[in-house]
Amino acid sequence: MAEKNILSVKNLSVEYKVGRGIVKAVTEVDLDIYKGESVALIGESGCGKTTMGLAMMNLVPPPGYIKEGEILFYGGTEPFNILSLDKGDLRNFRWKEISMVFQSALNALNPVMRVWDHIYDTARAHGKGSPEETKKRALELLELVRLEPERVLKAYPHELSGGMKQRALIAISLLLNPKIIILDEPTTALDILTQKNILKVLEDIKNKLNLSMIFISHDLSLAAELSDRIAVMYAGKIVELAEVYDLFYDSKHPYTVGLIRSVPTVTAEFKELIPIPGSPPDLISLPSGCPFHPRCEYATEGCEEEVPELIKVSEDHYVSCFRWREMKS
Amino acid sequence: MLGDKVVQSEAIRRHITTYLVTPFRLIMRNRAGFVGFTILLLLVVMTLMGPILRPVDIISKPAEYRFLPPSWEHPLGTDNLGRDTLSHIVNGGAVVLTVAFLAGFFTVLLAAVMGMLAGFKGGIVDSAIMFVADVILTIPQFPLLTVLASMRALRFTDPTPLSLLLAVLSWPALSRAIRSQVLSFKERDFVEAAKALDLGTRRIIFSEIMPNMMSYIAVSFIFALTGAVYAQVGLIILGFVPFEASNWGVMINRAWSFGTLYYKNSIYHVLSPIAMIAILQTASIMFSRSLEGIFNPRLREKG
Amino acid sequence: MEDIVRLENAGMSFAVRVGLFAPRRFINAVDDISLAIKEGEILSLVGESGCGKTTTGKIICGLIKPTKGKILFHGQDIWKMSRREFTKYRRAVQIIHQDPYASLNPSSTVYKILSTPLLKHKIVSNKREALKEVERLLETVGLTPSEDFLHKYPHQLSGGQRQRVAVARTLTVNPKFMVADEPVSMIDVSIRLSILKLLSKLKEELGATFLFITHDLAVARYFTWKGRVAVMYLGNIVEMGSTPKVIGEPLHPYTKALLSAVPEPDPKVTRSKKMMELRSLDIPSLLNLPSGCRFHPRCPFYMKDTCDATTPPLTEVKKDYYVSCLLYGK
Repeated sequence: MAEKNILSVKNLSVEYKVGRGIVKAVTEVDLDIYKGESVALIGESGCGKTTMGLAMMNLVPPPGYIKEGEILFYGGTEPFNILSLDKGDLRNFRWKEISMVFQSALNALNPVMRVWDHIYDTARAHGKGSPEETKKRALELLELVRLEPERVLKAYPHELSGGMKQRALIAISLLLNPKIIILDEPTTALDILTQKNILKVLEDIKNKLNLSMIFISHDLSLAAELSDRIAVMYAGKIVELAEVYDLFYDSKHPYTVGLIRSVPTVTAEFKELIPIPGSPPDLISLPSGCPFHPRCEYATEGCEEEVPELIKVSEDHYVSCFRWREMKS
Repeated sequence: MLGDKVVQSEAIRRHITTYLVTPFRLIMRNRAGFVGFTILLLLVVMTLMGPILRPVDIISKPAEYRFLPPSWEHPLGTDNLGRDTLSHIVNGGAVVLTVAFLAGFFTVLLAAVMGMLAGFKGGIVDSAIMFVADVILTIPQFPLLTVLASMRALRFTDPTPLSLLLAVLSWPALSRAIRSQVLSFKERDFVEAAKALDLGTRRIIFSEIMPNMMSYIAVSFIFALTGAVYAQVGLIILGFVPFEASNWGVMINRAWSFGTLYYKNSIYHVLSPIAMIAILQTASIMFSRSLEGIFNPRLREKG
Repeated sequence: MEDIVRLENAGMSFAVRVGLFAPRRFINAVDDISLAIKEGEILSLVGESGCGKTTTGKIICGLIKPTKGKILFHGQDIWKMSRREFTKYRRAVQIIHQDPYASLNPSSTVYKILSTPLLKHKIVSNKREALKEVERLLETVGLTPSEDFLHKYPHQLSGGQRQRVAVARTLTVNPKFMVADEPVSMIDVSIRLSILKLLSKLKEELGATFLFITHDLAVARYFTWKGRVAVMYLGNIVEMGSTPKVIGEPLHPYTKALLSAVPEPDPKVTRSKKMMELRSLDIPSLLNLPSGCRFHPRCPFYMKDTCDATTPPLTEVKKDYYVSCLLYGK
């Protein structure tokens, strides 16, 4: 039976050691990414989503460290744990199998290098192909992301707008034909019209190339537009994981419900929105039991004592809440 | 009322914590800074207590007392006139330290006032101040100092005029840096909010902008201090400033002009003042490492 | 109800040097804005980055002097006011900034930030009263128990808390007009709504007039549902009217394009939304503004020789509804 997964996160915990204490950025997370799908990791600042993305590339910077768990990659003949790769293997792995477009990528381009230099450098660093082949591929990719290939290839970063730089970075991340690309906040800091362009580009990539995409964002709308499945993260844990329609129309976690209820829209009928009381917890001193319970209107005593597990409530729909049955959408 | 009293004592406790306990704890946190601080403290104590505990030895003695090696009676040996070196050392720091602190203080004061005025007011005030600063910067400072020092009319035997003169020559460089900081602060949102709240120019400069520059100003003070030490010791060694014989700089000058340098046994006498000056400079710079932490609220907390 | 603030043909240009030997060029951050805001109303200024909305907000606050045109407060030109009148104006109009960390002095405690204006303007007469008033303000903005916050520094507070302190600070001088410049765009999603609700509550209690600047159409729609929206593009207002009308049935092509591009937190809706195709993907630079109607290079309704030749004025096409487009108002 063909393997459905391309990536499998198993019991991952990532922590950061800072002066004040230990930041539990990610706690005991399980997540499977299927081949050819797009998954959104949604959550607010400090929920652990960026750390998850970095961990998938084994790029967690010090003072961060992997406390436990493994991330299995199923691209080759045998699945292997990304977190146990040595330096040489990691070099071969990164960008070739998984690549990443980082947050505030608009500053990721070297101002004294042309786009072509960035591309050629990347290709050379991974020992791939001749300049001619690389150029051909680069032009193809730039066209895929709706940029003028010849012009942009020769351009310096300051000659490109924010949206163009973002698209160029996406093209560079696709250079070596990775099986997964991770995009961290791809549309933040961009104008509405530019954002829409990027979303269209990402949709094109999704349809034309056979790869898996992982979006990391705080923007529910981005997830609604593009993803097949959504994982909602809170305080370092996944609180709900479901297909996109199920998540929006049949949410089972109070946080998801609260989020959807508190985000203003442009087209829906105007109605009063309901805020989520309180604020996200400090990852150094997490509340006992369910991390969301201090803000949850459904919380009971049990929620304070035990941490709920991620349980399956229906096909491809998981939630970690004791009171999920009471959620009505 | 009892409530008031509680609030009062709370406030006093908080003030003591903020201004005494926390700075001390912060100095301790940075090892280099703590060492620097301790040494500086010892130097100051030595300068204050020294003259009382070991008064300066001014009696010329016969030849067999000259350039004696260190002994229990003369821990640092004697000089070319048989006088106790240690007594000279402990008495000789006062003027050096005084001029250093005063010059550092005046430099920073002048630079801060000028820099903040220029940065905040802009326009003509800015251009005028910067013009004056540029003029002073182009004058070669040391030659000017030596010319002025050789003019008998100027009373250089007092630490204060010398400090002021050093300050007048050193403020331009620092004021430029302060001015750029003020310029960048002017654009910050919280300064704009203060303008919208109509808090007034004076309050904005002193309550909003300056506290954020204090760590920079404190560190600059240290560097003004070390600069002043070099300037005055340089002048003294060259013989332009007739301070008393026990002054460290004068000791070096006399070593040079009285041929002390040519005697092998004089090494203790020559090296002691040099070592003291080097210790002073090094300790100051080490202490500056702690100063940054004290004035920056973010570094004050752990983490 | 009278106009509390009026902009008449206000414009703001900045000089830029493009090259070492090139002559100075001018950027019109705000080109020609005429806007009347009634007392007690709530108005959103919406647009993408570079459209001039923040500059307009700062002109209204008197923090920037416009290079052309006038700004009138209760009918008086603020830049011609006497010192005393200008002081009164300054206190009546307050601003809330976008970045909650940058808008608070990092070296001051919450108490100091809030008590300084109170003491300076002699709104309270001594420190004891100041403390009481500061505590009252902290409670008003939802920072309770107030003792927990008095001696904290900004870096010890979360983004939402800092923003509340910034709001409390504006309340110290009892403003009549509040300009909020992207007050929630740098705040976590789950907290945004509570800050917006706080601002709404304050508006009700103070009876203040509100200018809400944002690039997020959904937030603008929510916050100013009962008021008006003005859409800006490259330094001009292109459409202005009551919020339900502008957002529900937009007239200007740019507004239509914006609305079609906003993603929605609802998969069925957002995936079936058709984005309006624009003629060009390029965003014009403020140094090289298109001739005539600024939107013409991208506008799908472009009429040759008309739209590139004349700049459409802001015309009242329906009662209290303005559009600047040659398709309307003839």
